[in-house]
Amino acid sequence: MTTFRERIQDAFAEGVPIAIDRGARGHYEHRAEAAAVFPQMEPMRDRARQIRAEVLANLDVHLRQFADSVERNGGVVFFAADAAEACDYIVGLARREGITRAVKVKSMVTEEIHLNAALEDAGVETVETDLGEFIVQLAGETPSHIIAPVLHKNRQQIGELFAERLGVDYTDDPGELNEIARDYLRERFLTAGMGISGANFGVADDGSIALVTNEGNGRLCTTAPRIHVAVMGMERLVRDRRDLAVMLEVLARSATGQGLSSYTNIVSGPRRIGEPDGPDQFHVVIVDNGRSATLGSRVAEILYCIRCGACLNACPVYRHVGGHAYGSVYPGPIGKVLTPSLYGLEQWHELPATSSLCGACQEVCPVRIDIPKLLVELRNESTHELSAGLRRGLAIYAGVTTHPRVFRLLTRTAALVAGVWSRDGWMRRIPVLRNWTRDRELPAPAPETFHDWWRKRGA
Amino acid sequence: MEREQFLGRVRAALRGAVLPEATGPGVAPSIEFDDPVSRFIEQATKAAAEVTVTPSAADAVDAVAGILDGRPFIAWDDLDAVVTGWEEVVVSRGWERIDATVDATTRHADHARIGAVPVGITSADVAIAATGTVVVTHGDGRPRSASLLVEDHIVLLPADRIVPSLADGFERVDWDTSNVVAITGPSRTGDIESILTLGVHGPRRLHIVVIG
Amino acid sequence: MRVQLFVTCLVNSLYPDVGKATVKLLEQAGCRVEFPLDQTCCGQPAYNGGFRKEARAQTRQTLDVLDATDGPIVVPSGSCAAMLIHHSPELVGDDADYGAKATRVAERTRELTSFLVEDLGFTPADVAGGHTATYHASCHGLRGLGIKQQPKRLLDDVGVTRVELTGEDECCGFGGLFSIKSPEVSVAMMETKIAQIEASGADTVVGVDVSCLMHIGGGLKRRGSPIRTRHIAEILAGDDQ
Repeated sequence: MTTFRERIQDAFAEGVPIAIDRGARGHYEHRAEAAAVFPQMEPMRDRARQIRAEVLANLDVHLRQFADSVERNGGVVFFAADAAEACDYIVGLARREGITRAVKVKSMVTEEIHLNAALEDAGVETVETDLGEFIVQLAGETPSHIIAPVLHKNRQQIGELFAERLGVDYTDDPGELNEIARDYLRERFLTAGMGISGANFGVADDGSIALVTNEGNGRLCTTAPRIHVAVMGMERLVRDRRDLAVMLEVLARSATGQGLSSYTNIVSGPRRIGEPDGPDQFHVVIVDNGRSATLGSRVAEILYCIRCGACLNACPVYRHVGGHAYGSVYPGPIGKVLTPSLYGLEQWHELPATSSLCGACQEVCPVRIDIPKLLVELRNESTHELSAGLRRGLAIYAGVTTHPRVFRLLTRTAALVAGVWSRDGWMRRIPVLRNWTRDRELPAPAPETFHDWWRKRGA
Repeated sequence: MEREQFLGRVRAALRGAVLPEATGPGVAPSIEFDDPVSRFIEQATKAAAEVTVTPSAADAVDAVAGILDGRPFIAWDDLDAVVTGWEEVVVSRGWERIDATVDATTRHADHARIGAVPVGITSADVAIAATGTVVVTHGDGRPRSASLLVEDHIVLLPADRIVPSLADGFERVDWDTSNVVAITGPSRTGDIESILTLGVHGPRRLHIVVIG
Repeated sequence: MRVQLFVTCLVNSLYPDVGKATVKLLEQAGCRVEFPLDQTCCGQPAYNGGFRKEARAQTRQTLDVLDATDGPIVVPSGSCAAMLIHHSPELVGDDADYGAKATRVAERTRELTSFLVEDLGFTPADVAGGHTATYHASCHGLRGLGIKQQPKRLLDDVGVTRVELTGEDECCGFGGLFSIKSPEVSVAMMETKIAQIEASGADTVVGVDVSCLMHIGGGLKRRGSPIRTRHIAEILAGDDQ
């Protein structure tokens, strides 16, 4: 597998689409505007963070209550230890029920468990219905942002894709492209046997699932097909509707700057006796897949995440490298912690290493996750992956700075001899710190340290 | 995995967990408005809903007639709770109401038929001033399709059902049903170059008739 | 008032003029400046890099030196001040003795511009100057300590011609070891910052952290730009006439 650094170099060589930076900044600004006109934003974020902490502290209790509630409503609950169990359950269900076509709402956890591939292998046509995910699926690619999957494409590329794959006349007008997708997917919604969604939140005391969308596909997928399967990361619970209201107040504002998205769809079970429409079966697949290990780790706080994408929009690294370079289902700051946490630091240590710890992510996170702190925690466990030169240099530096007299002697020496290697305060081109000097001048030590100046100055 | 085994792993993880303390305000901040109705209208309009304010039920009927424009529609069974004599109105005006019941054995055919109906008429049990949101409680006699499969969704909303915040709204909803949807404006997306287009998979237009 | 100067390792070796300007400024404000000679490095690069053992050792050494003194500890660096205030207590919190030292030191530590504005209410004398400055808000000072308005207010108070910087609070890309571990991204972020600086029309970039200025300045110098970088202490002390 390529390294993160290699993928970044490739992305830079290809040219990261300007659309990424522009799109991310747009969302970032919208979020700021929404926060500015919502007087209760800060205390709401405080309460949202507190709710996440309270729920996780007794997660097993709430999960048990949630499962009981779902079953009481006539739903079926399956606990999946990992991606394979989750896929096996859903594929098994599809086979038993003779499902040949499934429609899907955008869901990060279903990407995480590679559900589409498992279903396709079993002969189930699996159609993404979120416009951005639909486009990404047509193109045979992966999404580049957790909220805006096709941030990396422009309208011309999408127009060409539709013309080629759907056999329609070329257009790059967003309204017309919208219409094409609406018609094409409408037919799929109304003929699919299974609708698959994620779950923004599960409500423990009444067994309902809240699904937040703007397009209406979240409602169509959970109404028209006879079977609805909701896949939920086990940490995505709230206790009751009061908790739910708080989380909803901060979710859309943080993701897109809307007060609420167009549809907050709350589903509790299959259609009840006497109801005119709705699915006949409701299944909830609760997924662990590394979350319990994360809960027991030093980066447990990352499980507060409600997948709003605000951290991506604020992150200068994400804006510069785009979503694909991360090489994982979860890009951006959230991905830098979650990916190594779910899949192992050994393979993913580069992700937490590639950050300036600027803190822009924490500043916009609706539940105030201290992402920089979590990145440092992960770095604590992966210094052995850094270059030997860097580790040696750091060790020497630490040794020198814990011995003040040595420190003063060495810095004085560097000051005295700096003149040999420098000109006008800048180092000459010598092969030191190539990673710096490739693109930047390196300042030379000053001819006299501050320490020495102070000593000479007298008390 | 068996439930208790799964939950056992969670409990075991929690035993050694390093979670930040659950500090915070303890309750959500309250949200209030001097004039919730005005706020609702302003926000719903901003969200691209078409809002009409009618002083009486009779005026509401005229507003509906204007939107219907002779087209067939699907509707909830209990609209006479918001417009007295609704059933008589439908008959006397010669409106064409289509049944929206989906039978489990003929699901696809029913949806194809229902999916062709252009207008849906529902009420809302509560609406949220802060965001211009109508909360639509489906259930018995209240098909989801009326607010979902149609091109034009008409919501009949008595003004006294407007409350300040989502939390307030949630307290008023009767949750004994399989589907409640908080709707803010028509369907939309910004997926293509962050350009907003309306009417993706849900209704193209949301009409809110505020009564009283 | 007696204050302790924690000058920071970068200023000590690479930008001692910033330290001298800081002393001058504090003396103008009526402070008696003391300089604990055994100070070295606050431990931030090691801490950020994940070298916890080394960071703890540096922290203990720094705390021993600073806790043996009295009075406010003034630091001409947002990131080093944030380190002493937020991270050192956590790093050595498991040790009763050092935990207490860290708490005491954290309570006394102040970044330079916040100290001047909030603690002393001091306005330096007007400085004449033919330059146009723009302010870059270094991340750790900004988000860790809320340093945003104080430096700009001080610049305006002393009569510096100042223009706003678009993306003022976007990271310049230094990030300590990040600048050499992930040089491509670091440089890309630097180039974005430089483009914003060039667009501002300023000929001088001012900041509260020489680490950012070293990185931005290194990029400006490489492309032959006439734009200068200055630490705010140098401007306020009248050393940039």
